Amino acid sequence: MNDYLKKYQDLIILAALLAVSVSMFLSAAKGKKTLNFLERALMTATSPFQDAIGWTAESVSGVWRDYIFLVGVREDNQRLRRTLDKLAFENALILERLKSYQRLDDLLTFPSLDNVSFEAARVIGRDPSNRVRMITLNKGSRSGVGENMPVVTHRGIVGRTVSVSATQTKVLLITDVRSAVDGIAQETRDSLVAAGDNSPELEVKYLSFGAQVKEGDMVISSGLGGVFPKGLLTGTLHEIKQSSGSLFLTARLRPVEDFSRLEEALILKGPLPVNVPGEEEAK
Amino acid sequence: MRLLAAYGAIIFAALVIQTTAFNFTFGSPLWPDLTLIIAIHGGLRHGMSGGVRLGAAAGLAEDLLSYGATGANTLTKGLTGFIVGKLRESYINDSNMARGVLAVGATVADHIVYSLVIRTFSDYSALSGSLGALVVAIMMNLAFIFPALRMINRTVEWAGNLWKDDFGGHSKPWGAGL
Repeated sequence: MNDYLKKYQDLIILAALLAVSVSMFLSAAKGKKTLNFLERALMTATSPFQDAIGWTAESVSGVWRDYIFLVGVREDNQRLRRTLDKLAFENALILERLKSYQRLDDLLTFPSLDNVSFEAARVIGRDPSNRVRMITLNKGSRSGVGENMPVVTHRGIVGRTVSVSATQTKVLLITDVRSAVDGIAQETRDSLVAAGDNSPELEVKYLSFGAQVKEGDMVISSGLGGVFPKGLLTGTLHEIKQSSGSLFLTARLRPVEDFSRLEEALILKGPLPVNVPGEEEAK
Repeated sequence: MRLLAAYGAIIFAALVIQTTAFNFTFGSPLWPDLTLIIAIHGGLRHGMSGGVRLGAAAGLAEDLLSYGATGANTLTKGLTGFIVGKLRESYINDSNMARGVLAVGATVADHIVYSLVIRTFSDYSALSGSLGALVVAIMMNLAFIFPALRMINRTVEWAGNLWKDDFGGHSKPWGAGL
């Protein structure tokens, strides 16, 4: 028996490796979380170290940025003051518009983001293999974070939470190949789907051939799909092309945020004003 | 047992470094695949059997910290350890030349096997990125494999000596227990 095992040792080891890894992969693909405990334990164990490294790196870069690298600050200051004056004036006008909009909003019972509770979190990690567009945040279930919650910045959509431990949350970015956001072109109201393809930009699908969109048009989330609330900025359109024989335009969507430099994000914990298809009819 | 503890610590440190490397590289993916280097080390130092176990353990830990493809890195890193171990046992020495060739070969094989696994078992395909990304990964792994292997070897030997001093010098040769 021993001789037999030794003779075929190579094959046995290889077969065992194949069997174990493929069964894990298939199990994960079916949505079964057989290694959930191990995953959460490892996430919790790495969290303090990632946090400490992030904090140290931030402190060092902060010293460099705030005390050493100050070339051009005076010019920047003057330019920003001029911009501030202009924005203050615009802000007053917009506030007036907002008040009238809110009155109309109440009348039409549009979903509102005013009452959504959120959790601010710091980016402490990224995918170790660099094959999945994912970030890790330093807040977890202890802070009330759950799975499938939208993650945003003040600029727009970042992604959704996919795995949560006590102190960490994995966020799948909208640029990942598994992500897609249902959107609307802000100006023309044409609907589209922005799908990630693991590049820094998203691929635009199902944008109608007759859509009047142009380069630089903003795209907001439509609220369909059940994760992202309506009205969050997703990105800007570019490389819009008409391909012959197709019913749809092709385009790329540049996200509003450079995810490779993201340092903080907000997790929207809910209750979220999401437009779920069929909900209106059911009511 | 002590060998497992030492390697557990090495894999843990590698993953912490790998997930936080963006802090030092300004967000760019210019960072080596340390778990792949650990798998190569396993094959070179402990042969086929140790290589496959160390590679699979590193890959599994990487899978657990990643998302969506649990088992894919376990397979690719385990295979890397297995093949490097087989080559080490039968054909090559642990020389600098061999390390360089292994870094290039293992990176390419890792990308190909990972892509094949993903394409076979899931409905999305564009995972392993462009040819440019592969070239960058090869360059980074090639640049880092020499210092990283030296550091892993030293850490393992240091941990072994430390243990031997503390527990009366009855230590099996490194690699015997893996």
